[in-house]
Amino acid sequence: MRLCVIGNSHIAALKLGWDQLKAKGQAPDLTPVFFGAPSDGVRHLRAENGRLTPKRKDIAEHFQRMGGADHIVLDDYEAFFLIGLNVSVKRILRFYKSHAWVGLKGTEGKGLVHPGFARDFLTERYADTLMGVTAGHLQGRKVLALAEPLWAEWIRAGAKGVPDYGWEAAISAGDGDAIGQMFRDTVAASLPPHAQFLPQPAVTVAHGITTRLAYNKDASRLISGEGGGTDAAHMNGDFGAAIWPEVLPALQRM
Amino acid sequence: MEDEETGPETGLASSKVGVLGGDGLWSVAEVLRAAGLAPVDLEPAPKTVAPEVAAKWHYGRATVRAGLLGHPRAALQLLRCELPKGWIWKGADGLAVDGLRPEVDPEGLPKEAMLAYRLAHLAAVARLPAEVDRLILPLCTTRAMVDGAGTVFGARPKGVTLPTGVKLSEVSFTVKEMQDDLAALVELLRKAHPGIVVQVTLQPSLMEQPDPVAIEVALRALTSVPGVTHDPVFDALLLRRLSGGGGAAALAHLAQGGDLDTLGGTPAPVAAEESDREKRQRRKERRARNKDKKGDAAKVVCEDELLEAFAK
Repeated sequence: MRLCVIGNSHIAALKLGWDQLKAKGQAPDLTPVFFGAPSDGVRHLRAENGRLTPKRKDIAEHFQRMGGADHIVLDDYEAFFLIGLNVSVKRILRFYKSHAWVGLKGTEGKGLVHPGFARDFLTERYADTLMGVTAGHLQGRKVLALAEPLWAEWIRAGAKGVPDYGWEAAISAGDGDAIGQMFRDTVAASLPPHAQFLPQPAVTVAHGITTRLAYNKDASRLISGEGGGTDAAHMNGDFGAAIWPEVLPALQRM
Repeated sequence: MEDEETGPETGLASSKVGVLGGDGLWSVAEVLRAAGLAPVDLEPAPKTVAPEVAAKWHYGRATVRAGLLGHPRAALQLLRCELPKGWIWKGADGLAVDGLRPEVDPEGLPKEAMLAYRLAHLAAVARLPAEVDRLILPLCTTRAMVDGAGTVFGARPKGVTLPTGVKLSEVSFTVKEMQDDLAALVELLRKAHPGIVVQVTLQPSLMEQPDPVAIEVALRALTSVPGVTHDPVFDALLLRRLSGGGGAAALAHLAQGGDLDTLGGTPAPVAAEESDREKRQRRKERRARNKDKKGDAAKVVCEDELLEAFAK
């Protein structure tokens, strides 16, 4: 199956994981073609005449270098795999700083809301992300969506220059699992009907809202060439390798 | 001389305004917000909430998410922050429904979660008296559903069952009862905030008995309660804004207890009918205020000219 993979920087872990599986002869029966742009670069795509064309030269160059073409011809692919695109659990953690839904434990000093309101609020917010917009360009096609990885669990201790999104507060209050479940539910609900959410595999998750250390080890060195241990947001090839076995079955279920 | 910190005198009033109830077909708080005022919101949604999500879950429609209320009895009962017997109802899906505000949440909750949810709401209600200087109380109806103990409940949604032993019947409040309830409400509010003012406003649905004489009598009784005011110009401006008309600045100014005479510029004309008694009362209040504001440089226009403008 020819698969078009579109994403931001988190696409790197998928590429590294694919290469690992390929080297071991364990790659699934897929032919992925990667088109990535850093940060929210994918926002600058024009959808017309069955193509996704970058409006910016630097993004076209990224596409050319990674996927071998400066634009995406939709009919060339049987399915699409969207990666990252600003869908992150950080959105719920920001909400959790001022509000909590009934049933959570860390409610002190917060506005207590009905869980149905939290669900509706977050679903609408996730639908408004780059993921939702990009999925909207792919009407009538098979689309699988993977959120940005949960940050590495060492972020609980904080990191210089990184805002405290509240991982430690949520986990120590005992709300990690409930927030993780709300994340999966609301991201899934936010996607259009032709798209399906692929949650991060349970084996990679720690405390409901973070990623196990093993999947973050050396990620920054492997992806950007910088020293390891400074990037809690991006994952390594092992993470990508844990994702790929889930992709083909999910596409076949659609 | 201009105040260096606040700049030139604009004549704009500035009070912390709350709205208690009136969350029916339209909301006074939303009309005020659209007019540029920010009513105090003690149960706010996240700032990034989409308008349709806020509307579905009744956020931003009053200072607390208490539903319609609509008469002094319900407002008084709420501010007493009690948990009356039989307040948890059972929805068609088996989930618990808050019988004191059944119109607010479109979905029920597990029964064990409902108490925590209600207590959080009451904590916001308990903060209200200290957080607002002026409390706008929309009067929407003179009728209510009450149980044998006199507890006022919300309108029972279809498919909802009441707890065993709870029977509701409809009552109509007399003017005297509303007056007494309002007096008790003001007394309760003033324990926490001695200077608080309650402004009643009539919503069109109160015109169940569109008898202007009866309404006039009722308003006279209600506004005879110390600390309670009513401003027909404010009511008329609310309706005008609701139907897309102008007068935003004047409405926001009046909501904060301002006097139109001290508002710069020409207020949008409003077709408001003031009774002679209300005109006299307004003149009296204005004279008293002006007496207290010696040296006030605010722009003052002739009252007769103003009334003429409003009559157009």
